[in-house]
Amino acid sequence: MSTTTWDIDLQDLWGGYNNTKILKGINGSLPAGKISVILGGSGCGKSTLLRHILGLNHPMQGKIHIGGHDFFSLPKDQFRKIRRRMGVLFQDGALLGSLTLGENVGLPLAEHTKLPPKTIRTIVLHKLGLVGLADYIDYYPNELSGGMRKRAGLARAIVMDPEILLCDEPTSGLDPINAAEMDQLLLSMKEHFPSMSIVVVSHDLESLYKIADNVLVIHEGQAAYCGDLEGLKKHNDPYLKQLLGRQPNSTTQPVISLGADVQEELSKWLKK
Amino acid sequence: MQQQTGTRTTAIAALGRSTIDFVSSLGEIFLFLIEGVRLIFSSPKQLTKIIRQMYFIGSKSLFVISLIGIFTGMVLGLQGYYTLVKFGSEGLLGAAVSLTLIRELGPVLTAIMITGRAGSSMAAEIGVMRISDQIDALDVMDINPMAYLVSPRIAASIICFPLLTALFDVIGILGGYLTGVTMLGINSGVYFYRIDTNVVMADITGGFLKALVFGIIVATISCYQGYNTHRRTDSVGPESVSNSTTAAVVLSCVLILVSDYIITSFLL
Repeated sequence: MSTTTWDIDLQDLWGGYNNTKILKGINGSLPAGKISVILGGSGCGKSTLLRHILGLNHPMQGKIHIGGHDFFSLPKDQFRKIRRRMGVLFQDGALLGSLTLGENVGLPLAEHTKLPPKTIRTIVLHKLGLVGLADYIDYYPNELSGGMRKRAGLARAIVMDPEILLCDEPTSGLDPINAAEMDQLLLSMKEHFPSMSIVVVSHDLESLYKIADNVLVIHEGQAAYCGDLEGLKKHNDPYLKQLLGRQPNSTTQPVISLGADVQEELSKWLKK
Repeated sequence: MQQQTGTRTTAIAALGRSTIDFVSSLGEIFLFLIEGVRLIFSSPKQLTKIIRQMYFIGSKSLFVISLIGIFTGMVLGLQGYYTLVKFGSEGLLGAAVSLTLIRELGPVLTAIMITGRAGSSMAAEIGVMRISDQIDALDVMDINPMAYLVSPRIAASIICFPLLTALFDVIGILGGYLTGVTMLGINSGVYFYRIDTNVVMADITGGFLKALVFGIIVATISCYQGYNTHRRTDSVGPESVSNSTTAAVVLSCVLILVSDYIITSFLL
């Protein structure tokens, strides 16, 4: 598998939870060596798509090809081998609360290799150094800020030098400086690991313009666009224009008045 | 008339559905246990995790078990003395206290105490891990969450429950000694002589068997409830963790008492 190019191809992918269909026939490609951003409004199925790519959810229909392999048709051991080539940054880092940062980041190494603890600690320090957290190796996740937890999650995601790095909303909930730092980190990952496929789920337009080489836009469970960033900017599709222009839906009207009787009743209580 | 028949059919259907649900969840819990036990032996690295859990379930429960043990023994000593003295048999106090503790109260009270202390925290910790993507993160790292979270807890419970029960029994017998001998004046030699002559090996093995079964029940139910927090239909998010924890404690306690009756009826 060492010479494999780790492209991710989605072919007529249908998926969801229980009987609810969220992904409705997505086609698209997330090429290796590039940062691909999966973009879309809240609840459009971005995170669901990510869970399918990770193999956490099984598609209802269609296929996901990873590195040329039909991911869900592989025998169990092959499926696991490919999964080990993936690193994931979950929305809140998903660090194990009972372990220190060092133990969290070193967990995959401790479980899958026979490396001595000293070597593992050296590797962990290096990875934490890449995300600027080397001094926090013995801290517990609850002693860190949200941004630091995300960076630690990124360090854990890259500890096994994965071929595919998947990040679920890495900048959500971060202040502008931390969000910019996270973007910078992802760009430096691309520089450090040129063959790595980096897939970022996001609805942060600023981040999109900074990091994306390739964009997959999802709208109502389907791929509204798949291609490079420049193509997306020039596209004439009304939804894509609305999304990139941050325009509200014309049917959504803000509620201005509560109604005189309700307002009066509320005012009485507020004055008490 | 037709409406009455319809209501009856609906009631019977609901009863049938809940029976099927109950039986299928029993089956699921059993399969969960089998998988958990199988994975205990999946890797030598499991030993470290088992020792960590033994520290949590065992060492950290020592104080509470000792405390409950001494007071249970003291109460048994008091109650036993005032009952036996009516028949002029207060010399049998040692036998009464030790047999009650070894055969019945030791395993049951120890199990219930550990359920409150460790079982609830197993369910809550695993439940929080489930709703905060930590279990998915383990899965994606190709670390089997069952092997990482459930198996060490089951193994540690299998080891710790009988040991803590033994401690409870010993401290309880000393509690009985405190009230019976020190406070109420029974002869010390008689107290221990009656224990020596009345307690047989079958009583001790029976008590340990119960402790072992209770350990498996508490660990399995608590881990199962936590692990399946996301599948709860009555609640979501943090509330589902709290409901899983409550369910783990209540179900464990009920099953401890039910299985206690079943084991006792086989042992007698």
